[in-house]
Amino acid sequence: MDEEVLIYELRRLADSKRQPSQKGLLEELHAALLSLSPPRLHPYALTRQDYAILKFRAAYGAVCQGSQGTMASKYCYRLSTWPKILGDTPNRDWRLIPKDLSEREAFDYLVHQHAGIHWLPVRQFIGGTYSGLRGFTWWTTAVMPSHNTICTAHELGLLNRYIGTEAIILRCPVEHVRSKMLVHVPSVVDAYFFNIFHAMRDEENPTVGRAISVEVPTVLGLGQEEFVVRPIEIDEAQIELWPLTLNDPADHKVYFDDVQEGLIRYYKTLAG
Amino acid sequence: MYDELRTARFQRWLRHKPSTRRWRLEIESLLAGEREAILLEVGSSRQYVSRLLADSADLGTARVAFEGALQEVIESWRPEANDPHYNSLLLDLIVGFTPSRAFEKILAALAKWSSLSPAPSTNDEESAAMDVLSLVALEAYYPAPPSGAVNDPGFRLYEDLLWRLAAQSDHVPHAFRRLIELRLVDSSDARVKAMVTIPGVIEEFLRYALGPHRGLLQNQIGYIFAHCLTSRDDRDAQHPYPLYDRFEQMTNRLRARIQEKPGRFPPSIVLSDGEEFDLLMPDVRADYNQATSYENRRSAMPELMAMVEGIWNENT
Repeated sequence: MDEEVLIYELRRLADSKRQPSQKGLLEELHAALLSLSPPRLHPYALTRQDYAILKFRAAYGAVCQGSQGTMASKYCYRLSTWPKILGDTPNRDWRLIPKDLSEREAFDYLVHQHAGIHWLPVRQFIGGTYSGLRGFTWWTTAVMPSHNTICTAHELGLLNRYIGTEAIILRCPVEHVRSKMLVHVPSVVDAYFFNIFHAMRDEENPTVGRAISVEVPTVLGLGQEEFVVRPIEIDEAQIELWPLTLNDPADHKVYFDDVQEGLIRYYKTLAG
Repeated sequence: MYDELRTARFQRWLRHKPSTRRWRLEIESLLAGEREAILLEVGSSRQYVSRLLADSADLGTARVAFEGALQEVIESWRPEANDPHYNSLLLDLIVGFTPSRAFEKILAALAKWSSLSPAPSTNDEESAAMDVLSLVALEAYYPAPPSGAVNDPGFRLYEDLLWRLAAQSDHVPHAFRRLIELRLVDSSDARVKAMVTIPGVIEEFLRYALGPHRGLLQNQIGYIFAHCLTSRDDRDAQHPYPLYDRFEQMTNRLRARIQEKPGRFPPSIVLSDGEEFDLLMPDVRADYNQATSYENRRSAMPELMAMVEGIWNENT
């Protein structure tokens, strides 16, 4: 069997066992995959057209159904890029970064404003609702930038290919998302389209999610805390950003083929 | 079907043994929509390629191979024959890496059809987004006036296109800003004054001039402001200075403000971070005083001024 399909099937088994509350939604998503043309055997490499069809399924929008999350820190953080931030803010209000500014210029401008020292208020550059493509975004309490931000990203389950070279770290005051009850423990439906995800057990009533760290590809284990957060109003939340270039050739690199065997073992254990 | 493991192995070769052929295959896969899941995470085709390049064992070799491959893709690119998604991903790469032949292909399409294709998308929003991306791509080739502009035929053709765009209402804001940035028109020119009245022009200009293109445009802000001050419209008693109002509103929207200095002219602009700079502008002191005068404010805010007058009368 194709390794990707094997990973997906193991995930399905583990996810249903660990989060039985989501089983019906998982089955709906699985049926939706098979109904695509051509049918898809796993959801980790869908096309734009596939997403356009899936987004009308109820299960696709059934997000943030995990228990309320508790962030025990002053800020939560997220690793992104400027074009990704724009994609995550669909009805954006253009401010100091104009609509038709290229992403390269936008990044250079942010770097210039940042001057290596300041967190910059996002609302200065754009406004709107930061919602993500499915109505939520992923955040962590792991502090960024860190001594080695690429390795922190690996501890969040991100492979190099998912890390932009012109990164933007977002920081949001926890008090805001807590007071608005926006924080949830990620569910298997939230993570359905990602092939690296540790499903917390429903029965343990978790208050935090934990990523699978890929930092040491041969020994996958629990990584940093992760949460999903419902749409955030940029102006209200006082989200800030920190631009950071991540293209040092000496950086640690981890790719999918480094971890695929470890993932199969990991999910076998979770499903067992 | 796209297979992540196969792709991962292929990309390992790409990082360790890059060749133009391998890069061409990767670019074509990307443009065919086979990297969508990754693009959703990193945000753009440019970020995707930049990561592959940054992680290459030998950056120089990888870059040469990639640039050769991109050039080959551009050689065979016919914008009108491809779907909008293919074109938008490729335009992203063009903006990021400015391959030489792409400039003339985009310019030719825009000159012929005012769009990338003779039959733009039926989706107005998609079509407008593609137009914007095409213009951003051309802008990437001339971010500032080139030295030896007179002898640069590409630049001359670009100038022609900008003047044509300046006559199309949808594109005036872009054309206006670019013509001024590239010093293709003097800010005091009558054509500039005429364009300033068109909706969106002051707004786009200020967004750039107070934001990312301040270095190119800061010295022109005062001249544009002067056009706004000298455009009085006596037919509208409530708003006799509509351009001044628009200028001020946009400045405030960008969290900046025009700082009046008692007894001194010209005023300055204070940016959201507190930085202040004097406007460089002709002496239109009389217009400025009139536009900002009590009389003008009274007509612009009749209720508030009536209330102030009432309080004043009660106390005297």
